[in-house]
Amino acid sequence: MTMELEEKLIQATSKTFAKFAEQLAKVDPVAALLVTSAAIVPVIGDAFYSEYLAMQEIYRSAGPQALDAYNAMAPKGVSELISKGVAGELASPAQNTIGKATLALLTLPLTACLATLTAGKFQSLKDEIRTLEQGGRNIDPDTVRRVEYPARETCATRISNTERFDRSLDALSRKIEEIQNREASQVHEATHGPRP
Amino acid sequence: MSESLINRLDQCVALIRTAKISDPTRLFLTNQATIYALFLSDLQANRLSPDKTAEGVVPSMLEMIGEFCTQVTEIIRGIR
Repeated sequence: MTMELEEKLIQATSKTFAKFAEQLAKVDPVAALLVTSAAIVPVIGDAFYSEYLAMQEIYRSAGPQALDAYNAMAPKGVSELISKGVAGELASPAQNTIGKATLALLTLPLTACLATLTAGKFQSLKDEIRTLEQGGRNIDPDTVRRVEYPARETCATRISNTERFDRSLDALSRKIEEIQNREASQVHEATHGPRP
Repeated sequence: MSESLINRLDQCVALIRTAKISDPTRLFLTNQATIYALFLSDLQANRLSPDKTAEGVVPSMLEMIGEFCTQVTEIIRGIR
């Protein structure tokens, strides 16, 4: 397929995705949509973690009022994070490279959402996520690591992208292990009854 | 209602998986499909509040997912 057609794919679907993200903001609470399931927490877990560190430092050094002021600048919920941090980027053709890499960063933790997808459905998607998880696609990790979330910089957020990426992967690995253990336990219960 | 869309989205992902496109583009499309799939899963599991679904927001979101499938299918097959 030519680059031109790939660009066409990216631009057309980006516009649709941006509109979807806008609508998503109207569904309240948005967190219930993407985050309520514990399985999806790692999707944005590392961004939240650096935010958490930043807030802790502000609170310690400047008190609760400074923290309120800082919070007033924060994205309002996950949908805004997605629409500004992902779809917003993608809406601009010049920033497609950034957009792709941002989504790449999101994808790795998305493998943790497998358990949340309706059972018995989305088989192709589950297969593709597993392919990605096993490194079966030619995605340059350096491209992924260069990406910054639209996080506000403070001295507390000065961890490297590599470190952030590794933390995210650690969280993902733990989550996958939890899911696998849960599935194994369910299989055991189905065949042998509940564990004593 | 969303059952046929679930199947359509998954068929679309099957197409994305085998299309002759670069892996970053494939990943880019898979990510969007994943978010749509999560939404449909939430919808099917009744994790969306009924008052919001009555506002017409959800139907328009379903339309957008359908639009995504159409765009991907037509562009990959060279119809657009």
